[in-house]
Amino acid sequence: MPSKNRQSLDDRSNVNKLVYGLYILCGLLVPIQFLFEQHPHFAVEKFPGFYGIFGFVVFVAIVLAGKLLRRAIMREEDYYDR
Amino acid sequence: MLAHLPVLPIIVPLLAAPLCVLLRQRRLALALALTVCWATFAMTLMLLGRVLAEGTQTYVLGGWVAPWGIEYRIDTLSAFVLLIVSGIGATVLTYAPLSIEREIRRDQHYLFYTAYLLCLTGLLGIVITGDLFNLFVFLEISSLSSYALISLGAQQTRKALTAAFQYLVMGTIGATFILIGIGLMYQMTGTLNMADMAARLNTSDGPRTVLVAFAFLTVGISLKMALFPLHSWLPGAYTFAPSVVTAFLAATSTKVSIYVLLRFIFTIFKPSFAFEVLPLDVELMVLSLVGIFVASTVAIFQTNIKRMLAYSSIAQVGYMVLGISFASVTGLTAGIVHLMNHALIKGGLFLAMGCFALRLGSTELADMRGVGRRMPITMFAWVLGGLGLIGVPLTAGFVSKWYLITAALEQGWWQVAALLLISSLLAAIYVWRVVEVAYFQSPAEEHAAVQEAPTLMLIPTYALIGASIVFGLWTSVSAGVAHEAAQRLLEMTP
Amino acid sequence: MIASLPPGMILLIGSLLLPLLRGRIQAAWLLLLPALSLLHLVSLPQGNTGEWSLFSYQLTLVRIDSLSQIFGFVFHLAAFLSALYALHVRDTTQHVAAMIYAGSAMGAVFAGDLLTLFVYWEITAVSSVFLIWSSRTESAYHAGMRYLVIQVGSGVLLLSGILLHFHETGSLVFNRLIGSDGQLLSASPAVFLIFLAFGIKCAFPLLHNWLQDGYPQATVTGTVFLSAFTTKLAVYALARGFAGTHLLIWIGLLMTLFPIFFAVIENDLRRVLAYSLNNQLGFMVVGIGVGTAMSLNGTAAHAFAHILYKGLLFMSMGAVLYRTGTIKASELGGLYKSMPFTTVFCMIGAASISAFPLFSGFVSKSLILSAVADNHQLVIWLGLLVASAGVMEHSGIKIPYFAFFAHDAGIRCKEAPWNMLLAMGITAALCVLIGCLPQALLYDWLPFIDTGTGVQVRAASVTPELNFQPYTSHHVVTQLQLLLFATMAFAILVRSGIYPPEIRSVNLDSDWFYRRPFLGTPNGGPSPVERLSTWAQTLRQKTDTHVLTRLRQTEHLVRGFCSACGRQTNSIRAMVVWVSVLLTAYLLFYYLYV
Repeated sequence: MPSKNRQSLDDRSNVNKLVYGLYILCGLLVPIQFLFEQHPHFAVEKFPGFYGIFGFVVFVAIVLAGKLLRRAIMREEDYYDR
Repeated sequence: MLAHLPVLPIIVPLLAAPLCVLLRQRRLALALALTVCWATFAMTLMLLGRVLAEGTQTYVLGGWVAPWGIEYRIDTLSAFVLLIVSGIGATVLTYAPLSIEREIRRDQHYLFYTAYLLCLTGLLGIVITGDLFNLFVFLEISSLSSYALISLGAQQTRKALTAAFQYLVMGTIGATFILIGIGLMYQMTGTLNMADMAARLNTSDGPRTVLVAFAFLTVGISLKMALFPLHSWLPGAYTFAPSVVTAFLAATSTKVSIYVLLRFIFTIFKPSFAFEVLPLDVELMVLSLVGIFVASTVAIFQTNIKRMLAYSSIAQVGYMVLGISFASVTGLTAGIVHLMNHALIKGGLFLAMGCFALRLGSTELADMRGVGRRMPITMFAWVLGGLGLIGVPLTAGFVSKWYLITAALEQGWWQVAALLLISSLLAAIYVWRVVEVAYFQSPAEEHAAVQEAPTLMLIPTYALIGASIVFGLWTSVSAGVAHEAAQRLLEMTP
Repeated sequence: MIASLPPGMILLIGSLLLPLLRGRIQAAWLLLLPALSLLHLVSLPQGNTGEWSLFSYQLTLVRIDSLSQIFGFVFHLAAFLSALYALHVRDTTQHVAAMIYAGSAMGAVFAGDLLTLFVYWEITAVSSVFLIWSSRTESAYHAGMRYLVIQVGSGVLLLSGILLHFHETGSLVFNRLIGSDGQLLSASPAVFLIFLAFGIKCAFPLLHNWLQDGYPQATVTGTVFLSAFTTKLAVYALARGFAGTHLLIWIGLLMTLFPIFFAVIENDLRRVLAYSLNNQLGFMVVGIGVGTAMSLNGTAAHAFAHILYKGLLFMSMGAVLYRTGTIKASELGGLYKSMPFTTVFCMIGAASISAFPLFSGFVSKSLILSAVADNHQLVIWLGLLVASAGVMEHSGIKIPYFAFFAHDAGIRCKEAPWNMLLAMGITAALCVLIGCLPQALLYDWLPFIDTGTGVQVRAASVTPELNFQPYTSHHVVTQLQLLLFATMAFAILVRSGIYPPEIRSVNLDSDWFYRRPFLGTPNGGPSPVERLSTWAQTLRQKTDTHVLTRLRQTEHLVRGFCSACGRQTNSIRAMVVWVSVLLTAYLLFYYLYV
C-alpha cells in the first residue's frame, strides 16, 4: 500500500527498513563485544554473544509461555460482572 | 462554703429540680437547669483538682460521724466519674432545647428539666456516697427519673411507653437484687458504711450468706449496666427515648453502674475474694467477650441507627467489663479510660443522631441516604465518632483498645487480644454501613430541602466528638487519671 | 512553628483548604503545596524531632536521615509532577485525597517509631481508595472496596505486630527488625506479622493482586499518584526493617518473574503497567534481601528512578485513556499520528524502564545486578536477567507498540492537554538526565555505607564512597545486546504471526480466590456465597422450629409463673428467665468454688 507520507509507518517498506536496520545492528553488536576489555563475573558470560542469545531465547520463551498461560486463565471480559 | 464542696454537686441539682416544677415556665426552667448543670460541672472539676492534690475527700452529712451517719467519700475514681457525668450532663442539656422542641410537647418541657436534674442528682449521688443504703436511694432516684425521661418519647412513638415499662420492670428487678445484696451484707456486718463494712467483712471463712449477697449484687449490677445477657432492656429504651435522653443515658447511666461494680469488687469485697476465691473474673470475661461479639453482630443487622448504636453500647460495656476482669492495673486503666472515652464517643454520636432526627424526622438507615451531602457537618461528626467506635488511631477509642490489648498480652492471653482486633472489624462493618448510605447513595427526593442542623446543636455535638479526638491524641490527663484510679483501687488489696 | 512541622504535614493540613478554593486558585494551591513542602523538607537538618508522648511511651514523629531523605525527596517530586498532571481535573475530592495520600506517605517515611508509621500507613490506605472511587463506576467501587479491605488488613496486621513487638521488647523504635542472621524463620511472631504487613503493601507474590485489581480502576490522574507512593513506602519500610533478610531474595526474584507472563497476555494497558510495577518492585526487594551496601543503595536508587519512569508511563497511558476513552490494546493503535509528544514521552519511559543506556533505569538497575553478581549468586542473577528481558517485552515494547503503533485503529484525537504534556516532559527530562549524569543526580545521594562492621545508614557528615561506574564499554554493549536481540525476537514473532494477538478478555489471577465465591453461574444461578447463606438460613429455620417446639413444651411449666404476661411483655419474660438463670448459675459456681 503506497503512502503519500514517506515517513509513515503505514507504509510496509518503511517498516521493513526499520526491521532490517535492527537486524544489522544486532549482527554488529556481537563482534563489537570483542573489541573491548571484558570483565565478566560468571563463566557463562564468556560465551560469545551470550547476552544476545539469552535475550532472544528468553523473549521467545516468555511469549510462548504467555500463549500457554492464556489457555489456563483467559476468560470472557465480563467474567466478574455476570 | 468550700468545706461543703463534696456535697454541693448533689444538693444543688436536687433542690433545683422541684424549683423547675414551681417555675413551670419552660424558658425559666431551662435557664435554671442550665445554670445548675454547668455549676455542677464546675464543682466536680474543682473536686477532681482537690482530690488529685490532696487525696481522698470525705464529708460527713449533718455532723453524724461515720459509720453511724452518712459519709460522702470521693477518691480519684469517683472524682473522675463525677466529672464525666456532670460534663456530659451539662453539654447535653445545652443541646436539648432545640431538640426537645420537636420531640416533646411544650407543656411537658418543665417536667423534662425536672426529671433530667433528678436523674443527674441520682447518678452523681451514686458516685459520691460512701454509704450503701444511700447508694440504693440514689440508684432509685436516677432510675425512676430515667423511666420518666424515656416515656417522654411517647410524643414521637407510643413504643416509648412499652420500652420505658420494660426498663422499669427490669430496672426494678436489678435494684431489688442490689437491695437484697446490701441487706444481706448489713445483716452480716451491722454497718452500711462502705469503708467500715470492708474492714468488718469476713470473706475468708465467713458464712455462705456472703456468697449469696455477692451473687445478688453481681446479677443486679450486671442488669443495670446491661452486661450480656441481661441487656435486652437497653435497645428499646435507647431507640424510643427522645434523642437528648438517649444521649444522656447512654453516656452516663451504664457508666455509673460500672462504677458501682468497681466499688463492690475492689473496695468492699476485695479482688482477692472476687477473683481468687470466686471465679468472677472468668465469668465476667466470658460474658463480656460473648457480649462484644453477639451485640456487635446484631448491630450490623439493624435498620434503625439509634438501635444499632444501642447494640454497639452493649458491646462497648463488654470492653469495659473485659478490662475489669483482667484485674491488673493496665486492665483496670483500660476499663476506666474506656468508660470515659465511650461516654464521649457515644454521647457525641447520639447527639448527631438527634440532629438527624430533627432534620429528617427519622433515624432509620434508609432515610439517611445521601445525608452526607445534605448535612455534611453533622455527618462528619458522626464519622469521627464512628471511627472512635472502631478504635482507629488518633481517636480516643484507639487509646482504650491499646490498653485493653496490652493488658491482655500482659496476661499472655494473645487469643483475647486477637478477638479484640477481630471485634473492631465488626464495628468497622456497622459503621461502614452508615457511611456508605450517607455518602455513596443519592439523597431521597423528600429530603431535598433538608438543611444542616442548627449551630446551637452542632456545638455540643462537636464538643463531645472533639473531646474524643483530643483525648485520643493527648492521653496524659484521661489515661493518667484512670491509671492513678486503677492503682488506688488495687492498692486497697492487702 | 513551621520549622517544627513534620514533613508531609503541610500537604495534610494544606489539603483541607482545597475544598474552600475554586478553579485556577485551587489548581495553583495544588501545585504550591508540594513545592512548599519540598522547600520545608530541604530546610530540615538530619536528626530526630517531634517527640510526643502517647500513653507514657515516647514517640518520635520525625526522623531525618539519608534513607528517609531520599525517599522523602522523590515522594515530593512525584507529588508535584502528579499534581501538575492532574491540574485540569475539577474534582475537589480527588485533589484532597491525593494530597492527603501523598502527605501521609511522606509522613510515614519520616516516622521514627512504629506507631507513628502505623498511623500514616492507615491514612495512606484510606485516602488512596478515594482515587479509585473517584472513577464513579460500579466496578471501581467494588475494586476500591477490595483494595481498601486488603490495605486496612495490612494495617491491622502491622498493628498486631507492633503490639506484640512492644510487648516483647518494650520498644517502639523503628529500626532493623530482623535479627543479624537474616533468618525470618528464627524471628519472633511479632516481626513476622510486621513483615507480612509490609509484604502486602509491597505486593509480594500471592499478596499482590490488590495492585492489578485496584490501580487500573482508578481515575486517569489517580493512578499516577497511586503508582508512586504505596508500594515504595513498603519498599522503604522493608529496607529499614528487613535489610539482609535472605528470604527476600527469593520473594523478590519470584516477584520479578511471574508478572511478566501475565503482562504478555493482558489487554488493559494500565493493568500491564500494574504487572510491570510488580516486576520492578521485585528488583528492589532482591536488593533489600542481598543486604550489602551496594544492593541497598541499588534499591534506593531504583525506587527513585522507578517512581519517575513508572509515573511517566502511567501518565502517557492516562493521556491516551483521557483522549480516546479506552485503554484496551485491542482497540488502540496508530496513535503516534494524533499524539506525537505523548508517544515520545512514553518511549522515553519505556526506554528507562527497560534500562537502555543513557536512561535512568540503566544506572539504577545495574547497581542491584552488580551487587548480586558480586555475591556470585548465579541463579538469582540469571533470574533477574530473564526478568530484564521480560520488562523489555511488556513495558519496553508492548506498551508503546500497541498504543501508538501496531495497526492503525483509526482513532483520531487531540494531543494531551498542556499540563499533562508539561508533567510528562519534565518527568521524561529527569529520566534522561539521571541516565546521563548518574553520579551527581543519584549516586551522591544514596543512603547506605559499609562501615566494616555492617551496613549502616549514612550520617549527614559522611561523604559517600560509592564509586560505581555503569558506563563501561562491556556493560553498555552487553546490555544493548540483550535488549536489541529481544527486540529482534519481537519483530520476528510479530511478522511471523506467532505473537499472541490482543484479545478482549479478563485474565484470572489470585483475586479469583476471593472473587469467585461471589459470582453466580453463567445462566444466572446463585453464587457459592448465596448458596451458603441460603443453606445457613434453612438450617437456622430448622433448628429454630426444633428449639421452639422444645421451648413450647417447657413453656407449659413456666406459664404458671407468668400468667399475667401479655404479648408485649414477652421480652420481659425472657429477660426475667435470664436473670434467674444467671443468678442460679452464679450461686452454683460460688458454692462449688468455696
